[in-house]
Amino acid sequence: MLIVIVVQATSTVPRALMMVFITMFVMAIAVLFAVCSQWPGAFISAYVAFPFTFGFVDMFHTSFQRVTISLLPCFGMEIYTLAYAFGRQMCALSRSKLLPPVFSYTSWGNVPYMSLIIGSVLGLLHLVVLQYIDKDQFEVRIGLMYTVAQLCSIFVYVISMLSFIVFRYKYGVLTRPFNVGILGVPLALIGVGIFIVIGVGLCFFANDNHFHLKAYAILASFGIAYYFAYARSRQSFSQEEQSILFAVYVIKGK
Amino acid sequence: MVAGGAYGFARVTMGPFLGFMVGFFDSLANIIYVSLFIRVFVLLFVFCFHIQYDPDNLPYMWVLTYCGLVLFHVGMGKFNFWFMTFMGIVVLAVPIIFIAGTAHQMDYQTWVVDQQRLFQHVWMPLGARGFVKLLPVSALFYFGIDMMCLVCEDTKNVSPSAFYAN
Repeated sequence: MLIVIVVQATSTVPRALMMVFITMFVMAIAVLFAVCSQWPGAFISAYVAFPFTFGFVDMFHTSFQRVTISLLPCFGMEIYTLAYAFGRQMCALSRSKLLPPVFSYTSWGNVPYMSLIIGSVLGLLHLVVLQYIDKDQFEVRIGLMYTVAQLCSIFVYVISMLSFIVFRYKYGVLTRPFNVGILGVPLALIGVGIFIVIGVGLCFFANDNHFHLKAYAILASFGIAYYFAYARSRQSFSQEEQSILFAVYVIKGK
Repeated sequence: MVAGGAYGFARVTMGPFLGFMVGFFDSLANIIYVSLFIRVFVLLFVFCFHIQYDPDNLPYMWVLTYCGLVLFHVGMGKFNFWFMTFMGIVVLAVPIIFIAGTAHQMDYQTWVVDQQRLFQHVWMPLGARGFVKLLPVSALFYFGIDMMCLVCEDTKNVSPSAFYAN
């Protein structure tokens, strides 16, 4: 949520990253204190979808409904950004030939429309299947699917941080456009530790019902089977990976 | 950076299999998040606009919302990035307005300190289990960092400015 003019990307990107991080951190702490320090208090606010609603109702002397309507675009934007994310990700996977070529079809403005459509159909199917398997358990299973998504994210974060550490030691001689600093590896290790604790918490403390673990295991098995049956023999480095990233260096090094 | 998220980095350092799994789980997580949020969005929408509905008809509303989402993305085309930048600023303004507008009624002593006294333990009022249950919320903080790999393709084509909209 921060605009930074990038004249020389190598020097300004780390600065931009720090600015984004500081903005997020300051905003998060400020919002936490602001929401907790007023009616209805910290414990009730923790369990409502839009904790700002109470404050806005007082501020504008209006109804909950109107405040919720005015906050809907913000919520819609969250959905929009997440859709942007999976569209881009699946398109990039397709360019590396890890997914079929149809996922990389783009329309005007480089929008990966096929990835968006296929991802949307999968998401819709997921909802419909949960709705019709057992209507009484729908709400519970929706909550558990949220846990599954969090487990997927935790896996990504842990591997990303481990990748950073491995990269530092395995390719230490590689010339970098900017320095990470001596705290990089220790902080990454702390991050790995925190995310592992979160992952364990999600697996064994989030719910007594282990539906989420079964769902996660099924999805992971599908991913593994797909990789060995289809992707492994076809994968390659996409143009971007060869030109922008360090793939060429690594390939040549090997 | 390569547009597509963290998988490219993981692929080179941790090997192709783990790299693929990172891409797979990252996409999967976002697909699930979108579907769950769309469900909540539809429920909020029908609540806010007093729309009478039959729970059996909810899937039709999900389909409509998904269609709107995809069409909007495709319609925005290369302006997607700028639209997200603009909306990012709007979304950022909401908590600022909230904090500024409600500052006069904040009372830390009453609503935080006194409420905590109702519980036996001050640091973990819901117990260790409650703490571990709520801990995953903190992982959302990392989401903004994770998103940065996704915007580089757009900025590369649009102009060298505005690297971050996410």
